[in-house]
Amino acid sequence: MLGEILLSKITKEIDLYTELLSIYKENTILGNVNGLVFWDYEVMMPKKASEQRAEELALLSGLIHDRVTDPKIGNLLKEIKAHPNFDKLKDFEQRNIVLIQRDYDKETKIPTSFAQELSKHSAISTQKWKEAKSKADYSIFRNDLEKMIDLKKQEAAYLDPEKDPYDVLLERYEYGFSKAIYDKIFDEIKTGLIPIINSCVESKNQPDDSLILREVPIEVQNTIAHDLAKLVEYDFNGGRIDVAVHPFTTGYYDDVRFTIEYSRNNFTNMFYATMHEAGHALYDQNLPSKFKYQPVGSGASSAMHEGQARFIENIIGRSPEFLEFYLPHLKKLTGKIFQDVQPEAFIHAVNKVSPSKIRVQAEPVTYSLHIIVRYELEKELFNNKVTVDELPSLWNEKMKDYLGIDITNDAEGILQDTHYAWGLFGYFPTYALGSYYDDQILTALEKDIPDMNEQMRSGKLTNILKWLNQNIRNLGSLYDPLDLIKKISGNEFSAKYFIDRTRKKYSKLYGF
Amino acid sequence: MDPIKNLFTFYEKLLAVYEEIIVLETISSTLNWDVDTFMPKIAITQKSKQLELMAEFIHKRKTSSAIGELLEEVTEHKYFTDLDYAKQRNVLLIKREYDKYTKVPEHIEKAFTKQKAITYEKWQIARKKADFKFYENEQEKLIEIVKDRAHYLNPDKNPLEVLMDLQEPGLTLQKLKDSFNELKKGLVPLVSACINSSSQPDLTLINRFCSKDIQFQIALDQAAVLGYTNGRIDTSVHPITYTYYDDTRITTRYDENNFTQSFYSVMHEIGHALYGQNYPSEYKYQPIGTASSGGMHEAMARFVENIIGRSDAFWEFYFPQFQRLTGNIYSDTKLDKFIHAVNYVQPSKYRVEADEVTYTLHLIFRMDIERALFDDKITVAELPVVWNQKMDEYFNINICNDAEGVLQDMHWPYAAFGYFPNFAFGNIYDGQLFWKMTQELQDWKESIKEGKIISIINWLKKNVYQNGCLYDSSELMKRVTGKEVSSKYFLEYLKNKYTQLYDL
Repeated sequence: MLGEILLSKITKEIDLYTELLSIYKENTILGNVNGLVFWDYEVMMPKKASEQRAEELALLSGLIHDRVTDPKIGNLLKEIKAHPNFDKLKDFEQRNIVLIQRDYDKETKIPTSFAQELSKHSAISTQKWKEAKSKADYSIFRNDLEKMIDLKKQEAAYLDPEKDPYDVLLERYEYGFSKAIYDKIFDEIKTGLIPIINSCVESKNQPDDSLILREVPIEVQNTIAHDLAKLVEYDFNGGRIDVAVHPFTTGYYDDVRFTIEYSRNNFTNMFYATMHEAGHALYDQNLPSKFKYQPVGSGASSAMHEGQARFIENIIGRSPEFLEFYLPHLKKLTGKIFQDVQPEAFIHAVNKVSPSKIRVQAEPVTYSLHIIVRYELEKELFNNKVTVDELPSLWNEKMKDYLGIDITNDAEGILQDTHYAWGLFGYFPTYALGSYYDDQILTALEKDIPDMNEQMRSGKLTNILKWLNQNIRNLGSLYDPLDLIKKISGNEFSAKYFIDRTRKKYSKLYGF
Repeated sequence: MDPIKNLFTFYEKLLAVYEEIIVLETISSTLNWDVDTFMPKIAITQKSKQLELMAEFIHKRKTSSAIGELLEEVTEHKYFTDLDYAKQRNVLLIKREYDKYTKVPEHIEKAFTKQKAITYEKWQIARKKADFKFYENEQEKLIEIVKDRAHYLNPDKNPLEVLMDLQEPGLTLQKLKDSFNELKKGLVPLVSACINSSSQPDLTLINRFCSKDIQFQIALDQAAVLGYTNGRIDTSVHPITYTYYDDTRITTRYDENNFTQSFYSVMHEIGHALYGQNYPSEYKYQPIGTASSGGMHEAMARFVENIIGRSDAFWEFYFPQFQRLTGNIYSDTKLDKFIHAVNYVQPSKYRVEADEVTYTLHLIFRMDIERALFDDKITVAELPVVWNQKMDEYFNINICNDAEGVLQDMHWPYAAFGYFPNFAFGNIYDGQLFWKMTQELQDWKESIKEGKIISIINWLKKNVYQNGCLYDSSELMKRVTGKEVSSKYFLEYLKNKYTQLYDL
């Protein structure tokens, strides 16, 4: 009798769990539909269809929102957690519950009317931002930016009224992070990085970047892109490369597509866009198939995803070893264009360090400082220590302080990114974090594959890629990013690996 | 509340529910297009899940009690008949759809969906094996369910008529019999006259090697000539059109040893596309903002493909351009020989390969068979034998195995009974529209010869495209041509054309 009751309880619990997961699965599929519709919008759609497409996207996001905030999810979560047999669920099943709960909280703590107001204001402020940027006139955007900041503070209060609003936003985009952690990291980075940058800039040994600015026909660049993607084992049976204005990756498991862009006079744009997006795509193509359509069957975090993209782009793609291997290939594919180019000069040209005004054009060394400028300003904004009116001049001051750059108008300063118009405060740090994760992960990878550099030099990437599969991609989001880093490297997360590696690599290149 | 205002509120609510359904359908359409064109190979399972989910969403909404209740509020409202015609038509169309989906009990619907999938899958294998027996039982089961379903939809009518009515509202078995008898009487002698004529086309002309690249350039040029802008042309195994107003895409396929494959696919699909791009914009996202029927859609495709694209006037205009685009492939070819070659008449085993004259006969004998099946005059087991007899009777063709015979179409294993008349009525509508057009546009031939095909398209636009689904096709034909639907115009068109081509 007792056995029977217990059995029925377990069965019931399984039913609850199965029901919850099946809701999640449907929502994931709906998200995939949304992804394809968006891809089509960016890549294939006849121009005139944009209004129709907007209707479709609006309907889908409405449907998705209704479904992820369905009180049924909340009730199921409650029942499952309160169930006496909850502990009998396997670890990954319990992890699924945790992740669904997190999402559900994020989505439901914000009242629908407020979410609508926010998305309406995003549309308006994005319009204003575009106008302001094209006219290099901050005053056009100012009021809407101020309102956006107020709205984001309110949003943070909805999510967690007890906590500091900027902390809430930071954690929203990367689980486990806070001002305290970022402050520490970014101080370390500033102290470590600025002298390295100065040494590079002041070195007598400067690269000749005209080498990489030679014209390469688009068809040839297209061939190179496909060649590179194959080399890093991107699966074309489950993906494709197209052209779009902004490179991006979208998809899920068996259907992961990315886009690149070509500039005739700088093939490295295509080259590194391909490596970067292929890195994102590889993560999604190699997520654990046994967890498909489950919360654990997705990437560990935004920054980890960015890290995987930058791993292929920078750790492999900008390494002297890989470039040494690839140059002969490149020569073959491009005919006579690079015939006279020597490996050493090529490697240095690709790895040129030079402070610039625009974040998206920054190379891997100065990139972090662009992020720090943004982080510091956002932090002060949300602490009410800085006003919206002071933003442009403070931006310019910091750019001067950290990068020695003079910003002459706001279009190339505070107005350069679209993020603030969308209300993405607290998001920029995840971009930098990806690279810090990479260098710490690398310490473990080098232990397992000591001759990694030699392998890259001979174009043998398989072992490295396999290692990334086993240690990161195949783990989905079984672990939060900080736990995953610790599990892989055996150490607490730290930015020191990034600084050490940067110093080592660039002192060699620049001879200091 | 003011009762008429009250009615408007219900009406608006009903239309709002429907708009969401239509948007979901456009999303499905994009997913399907992706499957046909650019989807990575291994993504098919993932993609089917997406399509299934969308289908489920659409089905749930179409059968929702909300629609049922709103329909009742609106149609039983005492001022309903005071609504303007377009609004009443919207309500009627929603009601038709609602009835179609809700009159059949759920367990029958489920059994139907399941049996359809099984039958279709087995048929695919049967076709590969050229063995009808392999799927015969499943086809039998499927027909029983199809009859059952039809009975639920309308117990008072012949089940085949019920199914035909879903495709072409108002089409009865009697009307079908009458038109088809007339067509058969006219077509059979015409075909034999053509094949027995001493003037025969040189078919090697269409089999000259023409590279994919050239054919692609020609496809783009065809689009320009026909005024198909703001749409895509891609490649897929079976040419197809996805169209809803501003988002319209066609596909084609290239055979380097037969340029007509792509050429006439592009003409055909652009015919569909122009219809879809020109539904009345004020009715977008409303039930009336679509085609009048499947048959009318087919008519618009064939009008561009055959009436325009296979006419001598068209080739008089286009041939020099075609010669230029194809390099020296056709530099030695005489125009009249070329025109005859693209208009050859030759009985064939396969419907999809049939020419303009024999095509309709393929449909007629299929409907002979469907009628006999639904009247229990023949059994499923007898299908192959009956099929082969018909091929012999109509075309004097000997069928050696089921793959090239009864197994060639996906329609029966997919439960699409009563569907073939769509194709036939496409032709019948075209003949009648063409007759009317020649009366209204006296200089139509000159227009085409000068390359002003747009003036023909504009006539279609005014008379067909812009009417959306305001009228059922038979009603639309009456309004446009002033006559009841009749096969005689199509027959007349064919007789005139082929008498000249074949020197009859």
